[in-house]
Amino acid sequence: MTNIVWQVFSVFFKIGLFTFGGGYAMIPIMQREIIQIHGWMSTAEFLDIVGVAEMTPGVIAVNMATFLGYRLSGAVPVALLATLGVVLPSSIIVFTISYFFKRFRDSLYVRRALEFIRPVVLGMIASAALLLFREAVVDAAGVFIAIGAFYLSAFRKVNPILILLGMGAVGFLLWSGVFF
Amino acid sequence: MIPLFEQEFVHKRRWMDDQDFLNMLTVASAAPGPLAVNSAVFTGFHIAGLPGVLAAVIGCILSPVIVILILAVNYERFRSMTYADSAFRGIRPAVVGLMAAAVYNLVKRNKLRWTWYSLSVLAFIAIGFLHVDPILIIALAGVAGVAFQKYLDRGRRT
Repeated sequence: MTNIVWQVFSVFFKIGLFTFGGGYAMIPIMQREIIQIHGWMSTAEFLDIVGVAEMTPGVIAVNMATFLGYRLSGAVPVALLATLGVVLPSSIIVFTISYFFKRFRDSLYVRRALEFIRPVVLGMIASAALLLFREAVVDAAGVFIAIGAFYLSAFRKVNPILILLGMGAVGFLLWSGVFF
Repeated sequence: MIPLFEQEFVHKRRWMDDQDFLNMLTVASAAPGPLAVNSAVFTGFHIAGLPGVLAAVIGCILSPVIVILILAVNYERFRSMTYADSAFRGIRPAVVGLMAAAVYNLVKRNKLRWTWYSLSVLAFIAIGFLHVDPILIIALAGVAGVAFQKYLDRGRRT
């Protein structure tokens, strides 16, 4: 039991340490750790949880960690440990930076490193979208849903929660068998 | 979220001035991890040192964690509800669409010179097709940035 506990904590600690650039940036890293390396769940289930984590209040990183921590162990304390793991590295870093702020602000090295990391994160999210695409979009309707979600978010700035709820409703209409 | 922070921290509660707030955003977005949590850490420290950090972080994650735990514990039950499958069949492609939108927004917002996108493309190929660990790519990018700066500095020192 302690083995899975340590694994969950260390995986989420790693995720929390390398997620630069916001919520979606953690998806490719989680995909690699949780699906590919550890085989803890299928891509389909992973996508389901991303959807739920997006729709609930709070930061997606924390939501995913808590949710997955529980799913993987069935124990609330482990879920909390996963949450702690995901916020700990960045909290320590921000705390340290706050402490030595002047040196951080004037550091060209930090600025340059971040300059390089930003475009990489962009490519990373794009590649994750590609990798998830095959499992997520399985038919023509899926393609339209994906394009619709993209359009609504990118061009109409619709709240992602509304988009996910709406597309869930679309899925229900199309596939529940209630209507056809 | 950010306008909300500004309204609350700078104007309503007067915890910090505009410059402090800007510093906070800089640090919170530069560091890894969620912006909200990082902002909490910085602001908490600014106000009350380490105890402030703990209070801020707990405040930030407590409600969502409780909601999520309730959902997670009951996940099997609500996931196996009759129409859940069909709803999730709709949600999954939507998630991918949202990720694509995130990429689009990143491109639009940053307006980088096209040379930077070559880094994006490299990362895309490495992670998407060569299955390189994204963590490795990010670490390499950071190191490359530092190395590049060192290279620039060398020319400056005469």
